[in-house]
Amino acid sequence: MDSGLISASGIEMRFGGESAGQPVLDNLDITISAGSFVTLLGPSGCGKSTLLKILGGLLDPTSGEVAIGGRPPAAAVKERQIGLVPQRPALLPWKTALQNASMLHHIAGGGGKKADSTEAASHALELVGLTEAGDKLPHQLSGGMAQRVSIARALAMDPAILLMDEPFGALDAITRDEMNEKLAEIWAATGKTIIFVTHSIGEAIFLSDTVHVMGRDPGRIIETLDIELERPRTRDVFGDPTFTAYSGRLRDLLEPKAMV
Amino acid sequence: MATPTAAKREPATEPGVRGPGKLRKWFASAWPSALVLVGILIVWELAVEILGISEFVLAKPSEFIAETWQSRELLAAATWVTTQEIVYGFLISVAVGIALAVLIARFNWLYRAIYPLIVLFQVVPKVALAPIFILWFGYELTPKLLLVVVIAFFPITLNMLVGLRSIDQDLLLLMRSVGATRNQILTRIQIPTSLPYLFAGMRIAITLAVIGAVVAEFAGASDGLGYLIQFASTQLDTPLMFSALIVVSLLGLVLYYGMSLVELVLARTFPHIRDAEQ
Repeated sequence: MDSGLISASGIEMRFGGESAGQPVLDNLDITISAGSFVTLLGPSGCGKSTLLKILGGLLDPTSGEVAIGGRPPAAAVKERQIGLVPQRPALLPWKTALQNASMLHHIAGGGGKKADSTEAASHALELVGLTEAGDKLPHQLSGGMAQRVSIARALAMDPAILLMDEPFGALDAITRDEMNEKLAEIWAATGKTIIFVTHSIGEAIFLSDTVHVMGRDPGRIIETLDIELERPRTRDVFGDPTFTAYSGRLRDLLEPKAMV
Repeated sequence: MATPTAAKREPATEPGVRGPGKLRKWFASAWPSALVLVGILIVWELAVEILGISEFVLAKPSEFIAETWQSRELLAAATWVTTQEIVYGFLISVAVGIALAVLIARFNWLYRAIYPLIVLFQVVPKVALAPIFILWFGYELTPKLLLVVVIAFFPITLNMLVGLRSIDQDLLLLMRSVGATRNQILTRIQIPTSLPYLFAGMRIAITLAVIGAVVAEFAGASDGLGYLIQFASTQLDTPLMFSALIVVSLLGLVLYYGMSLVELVLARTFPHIRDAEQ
C-alpha cells in the first residue's frame, strides 16, 4: 500500500471566502506517490493551476487537508522542498541565465555563500542542457531556452517536488516536443516527484505515470488513468497503438457531453 | 575568455541600438529642430526690426545675444547659484521621493495613513508656499531647496510607487515558494523592476526643480538667475531679462540631458531601463 508523498482529501476552494458562490474546487481527493510523474489534465477554468498550488503548499484551500510527507505543506515550503516552474519563465531581465538560475537557491539558502548557489545553478543549467548560455541575458534567449532556465532555477534548489504549471504552453510544437523529451530525461535522472499541469493530451500521455483528468463547474477529478507505456519514451511513442488508445480515451473524457 | 563571450553575444543584440552609433544618431535627429530654432530667431529678429517694436517690450535676438556676452560674468555667477539650488534640491527630492515610495510600498499601514495626505498635499499650489518659506527661513539657500523639494518629489514618489507595485505575479509566487521575506522581495525584485519608472519620474522632477528654484528666487533672493530676471525687470533692462531667461532654459536642458546620461550608464547594469522606454 502506497500512502503517497502528497495526500489531499476533501479539498474545497472558493475565492472570496466560505460563502462565495460556485467553488473552484469541490470535495477533491488526490494522492501522489514519491518519485512519480503526475499530470493534471483539463480544460481551462477547471482549477488545475489552483490545485497545483494547493498541493505544493503555495495556496491554502478553503477547507480540506493537505499533507506532504505526513506533515503540513508549510513545512515543506520552509525546507525548500518545493520547486515551481510557472507558465511564463518570469526571469529577471537584468540578470544572466546563470544568475537567474541561482537566484532562488540563494534566497532559499537564507544568505548562504553565493558561490554555492552559482555552483548549484550551473549544475542545473547542465541538466537542462544550457551550459553554454549561462552568461546570456533573458532577451537574448529563445522562448524554449528561457523556459529551460526557469526549470534550472527550480532544479538548482534540489527540491523533492517540482510543480510545473503549463510550462510549455507558449512554445511552438517542435520546441514543445524537444522540451518534453528533455523533461522526461531530467525526471529519469533526478527522480523528482513532478506534478505537471497541461491541457495537451499528447503531452500528458508522453510524460506521465498517472494522468488525473479534471472537469469543471465545479473543478473536480473525473478520472485517474495510469499510463503504462514503456520508458524511456521517445517521439516514436506518438505512433504507438497504445498511445492512440489512451489518447482516444482522454479525448472522450475531456469533450463536453452532448446536450440532450 | 572575454572576447569569445562578446562575440557570441553580439548577434542577439540589435546592431546600432547601443554603442557609439547612438550619439551620431542623436545628432542626426537633433538637426531638424536646431534648424527650426535658427529659423525662429531670424524671423523674430526681422519682425522686431520691420514692425519697429520697442526694445523695452521685445528684445531682438542679436541684442540679447550681445547682452549675454557683455554680462557673462554676472550671468555666470547667477547661474552657479541657481544650479546649486536646482541640483541640491533635486537630489534631496530624489532621496525623499524614493524613501517615501519604498516605505509606502513596504508597509500597508503607511500606504493607508500617508498616501492620501501626499495626494492632498499635491493639490496645494506649491508656488504660493514660497513667501511662507522665505518668512520662515530667510533669504538663504534653505527656503529655495525646500520649495524645489516640495515641487519635485511628487512625480518621483508616484512613479516609483507604480513601479514597485507592478510586480510580476509569477515572480512573486516563485519568491513565496522558497519562503522569501517581504524585504527580500522588495530589494531583489521590486526595486530593480521600478527603475524605469523612477527615471521617468526623475525626468519630470528635474524640470520642476528648475521652476521651483526660479520661483523661490522671485519670492525673495539676493542672487541667482530668477533674481536677475526680476532685477532686470525693475530696471526695464529687457535684453538682460531675455538673456537670463535663455540661460535658465539652457541650464534646464543641460540638467535634463545630464540625467539621461546617468540613465544610459545605469542601463548597462540594468538593460530593462532602456527597453521599457522603447
